[in-house]
Amino acid sequence: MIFLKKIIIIPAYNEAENIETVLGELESYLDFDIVVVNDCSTDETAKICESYKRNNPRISLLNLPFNLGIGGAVQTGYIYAKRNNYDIAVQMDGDGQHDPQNLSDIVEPIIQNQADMVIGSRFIQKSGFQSTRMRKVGIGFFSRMIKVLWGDGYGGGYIRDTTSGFRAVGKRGIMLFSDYYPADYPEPETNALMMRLGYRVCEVPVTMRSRKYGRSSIGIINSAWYMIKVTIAILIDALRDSRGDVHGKH
Amino acid sequence: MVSTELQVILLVLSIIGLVWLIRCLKNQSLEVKYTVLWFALGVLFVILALFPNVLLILSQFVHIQVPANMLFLVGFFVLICISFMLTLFISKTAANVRRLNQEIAILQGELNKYHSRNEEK
Repeated sequence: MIFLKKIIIIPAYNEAENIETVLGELESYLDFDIVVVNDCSTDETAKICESYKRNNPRISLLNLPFNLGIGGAVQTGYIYAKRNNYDIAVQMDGDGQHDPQNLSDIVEPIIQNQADMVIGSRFIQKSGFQSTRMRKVGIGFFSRMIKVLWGDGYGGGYIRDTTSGFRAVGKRGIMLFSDYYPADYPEPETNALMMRLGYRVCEVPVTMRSRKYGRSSIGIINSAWYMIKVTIAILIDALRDSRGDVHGKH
Repeated sequence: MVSTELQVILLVLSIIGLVWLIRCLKNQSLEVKYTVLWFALGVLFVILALFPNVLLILSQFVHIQVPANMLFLVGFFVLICISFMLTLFISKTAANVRRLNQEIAILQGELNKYHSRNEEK
């Protein structure tokens, strides 16, 4: 079997309390390299990562000179993955919500060349942290929207967990995302993008834990603005040619 | 108060503007969050072109004698908002560029130190 280079991209903004646990849990997963993208944190995040780095050569740390937001930070990880010739890239949150035990399930369809992107969905088996009702309504809305737009895609086009940041892509995805990745609320838009370009997207069940420390960066007032922005972004993306590249050009 | 010719011209120009805006968004020459206000301006003009009575009612409400003045006022106000948004954006971007500049200088310094240390060997 050909050896595939795998990397885990962890965007981190002020996750000093959680990042230790995350890196600690990942220590035993020896076939994955790790790149932590520090989005100009103002707390001890970088320091903690540095000390883990010293004992573990598989961990890389990238410190962004100014804050880019989740999209920019994750894209930095994809650019790093592309530059260093990784075959598979997995996105994981820096707050401990994602369980590394799901890692092998998430990369398996890509290794078997059955999918270009695998999304870790918390709604398939409904185990673990199921998120608030309001967010579930929003997530469902985007699922239906993507189904309406690109429903005849791979796997029936119904992505259940459209905001999941726990996902893996193969080489095609790494090339695509290092070139184009939305700056704000990227998950639903990139799901729609993958469907538009005809990439194979599938979901596997994962268990998510509720965040241990700190608060989520999406509040109540932000949620409405979030829904509007993402809907517009998906609609504009839908205007682009499905047979062309990211920009709709051939 | 508003002639049919003016309505037609306004409608055609605003629709051309909106189509061009959408085209730019498609090609990714523009980012969505900065275009919302331009889009609002375009839609506003389309509405006013189709329903000039709206302009009449609005101007009567604020006791403006000539409806065209109301149009100028509204257009003016939207442009001021857009200008201010741009000012905010430029300020933020300038700060970011400054930061990148400094970071590059520091990196160069560290790189030179590394090179000279290697040469000594």
